[in-house]
Amino acid sequence: MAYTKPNTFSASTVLTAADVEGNTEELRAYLHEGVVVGDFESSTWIQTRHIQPPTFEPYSGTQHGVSGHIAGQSGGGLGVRLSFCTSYLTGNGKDNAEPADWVAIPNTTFSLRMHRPYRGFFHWWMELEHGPDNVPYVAGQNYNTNDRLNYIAPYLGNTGFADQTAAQEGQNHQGPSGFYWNTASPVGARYPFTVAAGYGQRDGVMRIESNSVGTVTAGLCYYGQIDRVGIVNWGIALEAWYI
Amino acid sequence: MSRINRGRITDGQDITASDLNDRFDDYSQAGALNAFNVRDAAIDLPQVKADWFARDSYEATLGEFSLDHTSVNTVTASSSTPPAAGHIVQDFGGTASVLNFGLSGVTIGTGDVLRVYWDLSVNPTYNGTPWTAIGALGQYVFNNTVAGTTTVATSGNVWVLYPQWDITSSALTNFVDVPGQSDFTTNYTGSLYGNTLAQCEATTVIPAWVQFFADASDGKVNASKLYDSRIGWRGVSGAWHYSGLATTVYGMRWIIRGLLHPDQNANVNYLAYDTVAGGQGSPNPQLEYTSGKASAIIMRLG
Repeated sequence: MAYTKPNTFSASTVLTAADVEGNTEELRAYLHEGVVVGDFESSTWIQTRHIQPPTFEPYSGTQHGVSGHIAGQSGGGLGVRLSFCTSYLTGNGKDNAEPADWVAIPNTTFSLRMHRPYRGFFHWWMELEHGPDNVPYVAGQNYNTNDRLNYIAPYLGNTGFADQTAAQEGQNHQGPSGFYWNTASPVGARYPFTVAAGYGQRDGVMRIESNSVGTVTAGLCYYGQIDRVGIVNWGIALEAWYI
Repeated sequence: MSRINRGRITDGQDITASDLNDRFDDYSQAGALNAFNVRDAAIDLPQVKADWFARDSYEATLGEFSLDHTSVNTVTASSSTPPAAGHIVQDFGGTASVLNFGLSGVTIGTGDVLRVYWDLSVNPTYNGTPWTAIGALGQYVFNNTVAGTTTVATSGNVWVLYPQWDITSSALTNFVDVPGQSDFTTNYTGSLYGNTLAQCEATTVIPAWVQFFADASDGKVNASKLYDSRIGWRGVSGAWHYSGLATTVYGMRWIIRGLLHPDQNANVNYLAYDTVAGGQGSPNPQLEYTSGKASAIIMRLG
């Protein structure tokens, strides 16, 4: 709707501040806030030159526009970028996990500059191959072979803020009765990985929200009790909407 | 883009009614100066009200945190018909885990969408071979390499995890299944209970067991080479969204049920209770769980 001034002035009547202010206030609302659907043209109602220009970073897969950030990366498909987890970087799977024991997973992080307070989600998925790991059990240093797990958790900021509550486990691959490796030809896992045990997909979503402005890092980290976990395919995505 | 071209009020100039009117009427000129070229074409984030697009977000812990699983919650499979009530996801003290939207709830308008995500750490356990019980949905019979037949698992038995919401009041005493989701208690034939697939739109499925066999030959099973591999602790996740009729949501909680198995009746696919397999072993099949996260965001659609 077009602007209509609420007060019309007449000659020889008292000019009140309230009337002038009323018109001005309505004008302010008209120019800045009172957006209703009927005000918009059906197409191209915003000219690009009037909004902050969007940016796209192809290498990091991030896009920034007037409403926030959209970002996505994938390690699968033609350009496979394998990643990994290993207990050797998390205290060899020692008994008591501390936040400092969580280690960032290579490739699975976004660092984005937030221009305004924001809220949104960090999404992730990956296919993992857990072990097999039959390194002998040593009390106080690692876990029983059958019980070794690898945990994946999202974090916001740095790995010290790993959201352990949302950590998702995967179990060390093993055959029946705890058989792990076939040392005779062919050498390898003694029994097949199945999608329900040893091999499988994990995925999750972490809410992100902050009133702070600045560079924000969101990504994945792990706490590993298994000597080798291969991340065969993976993907991360982030949506942050300015508020 | 047009602009207003009228001289400023200068010091010492008289104020007249017509002059004031003209200045405000400048903004009402048709065509030359309209909403498009004054306001809409100049729109940018500073002109938009706060929370214009992603109105609010929420988060809650499901279950209770125990990284090394020294404490767990346990759900036992139902072996009765009709199936026993579902298990409400809760902390170790028995308090239900609720994604709370506050005393006033959150109103989802007709132009809004509520997006919900969740995950949970779970560990399915069982004793023996529940799938071999007579009448279990999760069994399949193969010829074996000797002369007879061998019963194997379809490995299709699952536990399910799904959300409910309360759209009545902040007292959170009236949880019901969310749209697109039912509670698996429809008696669709004989003694079988379950959901059609169309009633599983918010269902997370959790494999209960997996069996494989080696040295199969000519379509026959080597009965001495059947193996069931331990599933162990794993993370599971799910997602659901709502948009449609306006409604106010006060909270959400999550339900676990099991065991279930795919089935078909009268050309309709079901996810049905397998209460026979659920009654096998001592204890019966169970699902342990610790913690996870539930999160939600409410946004405008376009």
